[in-house]
Amino acid sequence: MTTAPAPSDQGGPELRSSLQVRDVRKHFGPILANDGVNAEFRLGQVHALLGENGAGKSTLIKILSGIYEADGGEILLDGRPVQIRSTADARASGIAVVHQHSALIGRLTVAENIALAHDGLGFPRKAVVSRFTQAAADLGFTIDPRRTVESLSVGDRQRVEIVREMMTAAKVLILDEPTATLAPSERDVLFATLRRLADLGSAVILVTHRLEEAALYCDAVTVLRAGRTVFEHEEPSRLSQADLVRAMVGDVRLVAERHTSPRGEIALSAAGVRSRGPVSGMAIEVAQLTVRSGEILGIAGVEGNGQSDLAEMLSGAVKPDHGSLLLHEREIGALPGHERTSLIAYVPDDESLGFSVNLRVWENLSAEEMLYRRPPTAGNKKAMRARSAELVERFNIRPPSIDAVGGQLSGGNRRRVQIAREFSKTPSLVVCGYATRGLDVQSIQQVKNWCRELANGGAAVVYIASDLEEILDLSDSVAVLARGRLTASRPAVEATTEWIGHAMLSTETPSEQTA
Amino acid sequence: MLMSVALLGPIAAVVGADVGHTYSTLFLTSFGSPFGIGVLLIYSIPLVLVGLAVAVPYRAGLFNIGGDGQLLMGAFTAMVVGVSLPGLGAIPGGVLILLLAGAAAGAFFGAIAGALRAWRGVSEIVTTIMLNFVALFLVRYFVAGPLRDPGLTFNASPAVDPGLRIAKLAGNAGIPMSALVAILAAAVVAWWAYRTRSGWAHRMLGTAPSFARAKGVRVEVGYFLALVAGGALGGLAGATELVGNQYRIGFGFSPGWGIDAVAIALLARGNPLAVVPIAVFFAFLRNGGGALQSAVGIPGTVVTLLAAVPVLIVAAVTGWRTYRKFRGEGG
Repeated sequence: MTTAPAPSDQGGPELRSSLQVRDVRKHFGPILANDGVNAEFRLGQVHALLGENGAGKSTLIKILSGIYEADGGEILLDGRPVQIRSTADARASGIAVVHQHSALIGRLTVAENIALAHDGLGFPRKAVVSRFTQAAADLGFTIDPRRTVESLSVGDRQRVEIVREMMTAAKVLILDEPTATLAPSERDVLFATLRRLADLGSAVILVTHRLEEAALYCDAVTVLRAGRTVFEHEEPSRLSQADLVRAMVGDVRLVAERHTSPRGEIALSAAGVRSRGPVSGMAIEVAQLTVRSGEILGIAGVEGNGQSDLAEMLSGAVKPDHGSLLLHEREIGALPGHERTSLIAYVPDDESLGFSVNLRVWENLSAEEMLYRRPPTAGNKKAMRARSAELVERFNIRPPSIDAVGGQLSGGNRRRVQIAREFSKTPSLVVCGYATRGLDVQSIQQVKNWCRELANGGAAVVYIASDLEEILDLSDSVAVLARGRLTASRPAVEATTEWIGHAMLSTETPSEQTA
Repeated sequence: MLMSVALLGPIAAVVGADVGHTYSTLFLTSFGSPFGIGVLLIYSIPLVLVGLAVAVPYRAGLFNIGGDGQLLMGAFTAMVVGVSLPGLGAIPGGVLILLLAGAAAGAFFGAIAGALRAWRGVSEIVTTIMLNFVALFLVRYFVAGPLRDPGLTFNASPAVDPGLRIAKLAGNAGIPMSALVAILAAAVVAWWAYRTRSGWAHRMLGTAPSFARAKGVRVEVGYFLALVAGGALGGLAGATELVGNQYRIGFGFSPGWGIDAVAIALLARGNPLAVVPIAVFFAFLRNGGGALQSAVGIPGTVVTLLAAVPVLIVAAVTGWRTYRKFRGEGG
């Protein structure tokens, strides 16, 4: 690959020069990952691409970087259509990606890594060293290219990757969730670097789900939801965060009528729960919470605010450090396995916690049975297989085979398997952590119906989701999780946009990283 | 595995040997006479048992490379018990005590690696390999020193009392009755693995550790017990070999069964019942290898080398599938 000097001599940004995405579509089976994405990324600007997980950001990046090929739509570079069929095409078009996880080799020096990426040679020549130093200086920092990558901070590694891409004459630099692994101080340095990069004439695309980054540091913003562009704005600094929240998680309709189904006794109660989140390490706090039998509590909030941690604790998989979390007066975290698995139905966000790609469908469906209730003797196996066949039928699992190995199933069907296993119990508590992720619209409705059925059957349901419409459509009451803190719950009819928006963005307690 | 046998022909041709003679020697060595079958079985028994010693932890996702060390400790402990309590020979079933002692010693060795793996995160691959050397030199020290049989011209321990041996039918190289130990062990392990709740928990641990943990399986305890059980089977292998075939321990007690066993367990994909025929196949190659060297002039190592062919094929197929899966995800 030929290399050009750092783009310092490309002249000032022209507004006409841009990367345009028009009506890009991409489907995986029945799932439309990108269903009409439109965006224009201009040279000289830092552009935020916002969206929840699953909104279609990653798919778009993969299309732009040549990993996936779009099913439809156009990509235009400076007004001319380009075909991106491979990563080599993307590079030739000047599009480069810095991925969330470092793609550098830790044992090698910075210069060796750069040389490796450019010429496939392990030994840097002097030219590489000086060009790197120059390019870094253009961006306003110095890193000794003779240091090994593993001796650098996370932020410095990121900057090495940025310089590496810029040395390949990239005009469009995409950064995938670059701040996810950075400390706040490093974050500021990164944005200074990105600003410098834009000033030198590049288009910088910042993929993120953090609103404040878009508002504070970016020149333009595009919001994706459910695979579509739902919002574009040229001056994000003038937007209120509530505007962005609404764009990301959907319009909030007021709930006109609400099921006033007779509520039972208190099933789930939490008091004074404080804990280091088992998944994110974030400090989790639930001051007070009760959910009655027959009640569905929706937990709203922008993703990455401790949802997985809360779900793990509510399901009894992890005991909180302080406070009590009771299910019918019994400490959830202390329930023995056989009781926990029969009393609590839990669909976790993380697939590996409830599904195995190595086990067959019937084994996935019967895993708890075989652990706690029925040893897999020949007779029991026959019964469990028969029951699995019923579940596959009832929950529409495709392919409809109980002997299919987990890995053969699509993401949505893996989720159905988990839902089938958990929802076929007669639980006292149901915990759904993004249970509908990866499912199509029809299936999402089904899942909501099943949740209502379980509630009507006497279960307390905790439903964690990011889509506000989904939550308000289903829930009897709503609480909001922001920065690890769960607000008090209130009836869904009283959950106004203002209240939810305010609670979501509550900045009273800055997140404490105890990691 | 047929492929590896098939490959022998071209190799024989290349080194200038008679292909037909090569094959007939290979097969007749093991199947040509009751004597041949007896030798085949004698080679097979430790391979089956050590194969199980690897297969059990393998099902939990762990690699037990310490089969040789566990086997040596098992044999050594059984020998010490047998020699220091000669009265045992008079008791019917006294030999079972030796087998149990061997299994216990193997389990102890497995427990060291297991505890380090479960609660300290130390790779069991490293610890079991290192423990092999501990066992090897410990046993060498004793059989060349304090426990050396003074009546011998070479370094070896005293032999166990005839009353503490498992007989071979029809003379010295006849059908070894210790085969029953191996078959019984395979059957028990298979029953446990496929028919019990703990066998299932063990399987979940190996195939989906996060899933298992989320559903309440105590992962650390599971890892520990998996290596304890593997060690016990390795120890049993050593004790069985001692009382069923060699009777005393010399420097070359194990020709490297622990390493063959890793290949056997991998080929069996941890299935205890599949371990048996695959172990017999490995024994068949080893048995035939010696004969080919003397009768046909093909180096015995060539045949041992052929044992690697099925391993390579399985590795290639697995690698190919992983590659396909990876590509498939790319849409």
